Amino acid sequence: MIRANDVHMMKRTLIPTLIFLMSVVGGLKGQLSFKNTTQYTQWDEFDRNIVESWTDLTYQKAQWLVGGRFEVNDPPDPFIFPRDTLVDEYELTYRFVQYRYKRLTARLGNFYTIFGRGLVLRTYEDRNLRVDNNIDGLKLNFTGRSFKLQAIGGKMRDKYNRRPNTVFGFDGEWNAFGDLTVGGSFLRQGESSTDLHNVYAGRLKYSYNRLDFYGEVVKPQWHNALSYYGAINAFFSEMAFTFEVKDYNQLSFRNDYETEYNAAPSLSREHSFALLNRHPHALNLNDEKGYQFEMTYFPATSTQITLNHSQTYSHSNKRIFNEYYGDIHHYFSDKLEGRLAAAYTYDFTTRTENLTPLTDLSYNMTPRDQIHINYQHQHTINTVNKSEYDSELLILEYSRSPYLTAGLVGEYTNQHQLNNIDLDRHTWLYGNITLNFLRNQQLSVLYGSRQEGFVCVGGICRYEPEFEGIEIKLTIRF
Amino acid sequence: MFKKLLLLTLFIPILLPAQSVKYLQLDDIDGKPFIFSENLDHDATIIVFWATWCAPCKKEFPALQALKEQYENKSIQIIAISEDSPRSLSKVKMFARSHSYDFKYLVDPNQEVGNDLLVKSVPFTMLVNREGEAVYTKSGYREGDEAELNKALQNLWAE
Repeated sequence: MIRANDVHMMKRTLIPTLIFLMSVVGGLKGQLSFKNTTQYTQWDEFDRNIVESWTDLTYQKAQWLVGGRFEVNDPPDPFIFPRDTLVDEYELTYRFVQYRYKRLTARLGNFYTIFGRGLVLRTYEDRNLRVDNNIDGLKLNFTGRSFKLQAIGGKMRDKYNRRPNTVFGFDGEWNAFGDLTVGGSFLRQGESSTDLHNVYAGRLKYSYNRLDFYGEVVKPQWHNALSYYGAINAFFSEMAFTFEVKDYNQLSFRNDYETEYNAAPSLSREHSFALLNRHPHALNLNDEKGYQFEMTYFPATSTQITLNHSQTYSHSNKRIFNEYYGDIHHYFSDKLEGRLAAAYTYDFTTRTENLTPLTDLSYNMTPRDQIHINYQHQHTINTVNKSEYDSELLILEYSRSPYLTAGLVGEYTNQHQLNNIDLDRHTWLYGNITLNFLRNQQLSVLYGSRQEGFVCVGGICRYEPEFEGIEIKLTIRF
Repeated sequence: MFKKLLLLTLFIPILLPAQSVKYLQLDDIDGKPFIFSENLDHDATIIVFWATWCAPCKKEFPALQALKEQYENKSIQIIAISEDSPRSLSKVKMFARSHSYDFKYLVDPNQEVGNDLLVKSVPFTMLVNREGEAVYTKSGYREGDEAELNKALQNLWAE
């Protein structure tokens, strides 16, 4: 007879035993991959301590691949999950089994996928943005000699792991001849409480000598207009160009919890410098059109010049966003490299014009020791009341490969001097130390204060509030 | 539950994990399928996950090219897998054509392969043997990190 105590003991030992067995079998017979990122944040202002953790595990045995992800949000960060009662603090958010037979791949469980350039369907995970709209269902992929086919069916999640609607779709591509490829997509949503049901798309890719063309046209069932995206690339010996155009008209395809199935290219430059992301463009699939042009020029092997310009308008020709960006990157010697960049942006959402010059220098003291200095300045004009202010950001960083990176980041703004602005603070300073050990294990500690701002990827942005406190992040990977 | 998670963290690294790329498939920048199992017949394959907006990735590329040139008598294949989203995808080809690195450029616009290999940030570098098994992995790049990769190459060839 099994007693309650025994059941409790079995429960306590079950998971470690399974892990042990899986690891032994995995190590000897297949490949086991493991990654855990755990982050502890002590937020002084709100007297809040948050533990977040993501554990990913995959096991591969020949053509079989199984995997899962376990997430911890203890307690849920209210800036990410405003409706915290909907969040399970400990949850298996992703699990799958996949089998590959020759050119056919079948996957059951959670998956990410894309049709074309994402105008019809794009599901993905981005932890910086806290986006994870994976589909739970079945995905089949077949790659032939001159064609590719994909069929999917399942339910897409929102950030609270709710999956209200069933969706299924097909995508195909055929390399008709030479450098011409044509393709098409279809996606259908079931049980929808709105009139968003079907979307169709066709696309074409063509290469001719030094030119490449990509075009995709989409027809949603719920609106008469077409939406499209096009890109042309041209390559010469010392120069390369890309020109993209977009017209997104009532294209947002959402489930009943307002999570979008599609994520089309936003046609604005992705920046890695903090101040250039302060007033970003947030993509609106229902009403925007525009273009982006970028040129890269190599006047010498040690120098690269990049110029970029993008414009976004609404269909009523209201200016939404535009940017002019220029960047010179030069290697002065084997030890010293520098970068000088400047951008002008107009953003309708924040009603600002911004002029942002910046400089970035790296000096290699030894083959393993490097100093990095980055200075960014931003002059902001509010286009409504014409008030102006400046922001400065300075990064000083030392790294010793492969063990250590230590940095200081300071920011100042005179925005508090404006009459209509209530800003408690105008300087922020934090120190950050990252230690690498046992090759892929990483411990990072951040202490101090950090200015609010946007984290943006692919035209999708998340507001990151002002922070003061300590953040400890441990990443273990084997 | 958190204790279980910690237990999981402690248990697995002790055992014998590894990663394999043998059964992966991606498109190259011209849209042609690249099947890894048919392309691993090299003394070493270095795979680097990168993105056009990633400054450390671009710093790593010359170091990888130099490593390839250092071992002229060995067949080293370098595969650069772009994790650029559709937003920057058109710039991948532009980058590839305007730089003279002897790399094979592949695209993973939805990070599907990146996800299966637990690559959550770029650059991420892997050294892979003829069987497609990863014998070295490294997340991030700082000046000098290539020395560790060089050691791993020599260890691979010494086996």
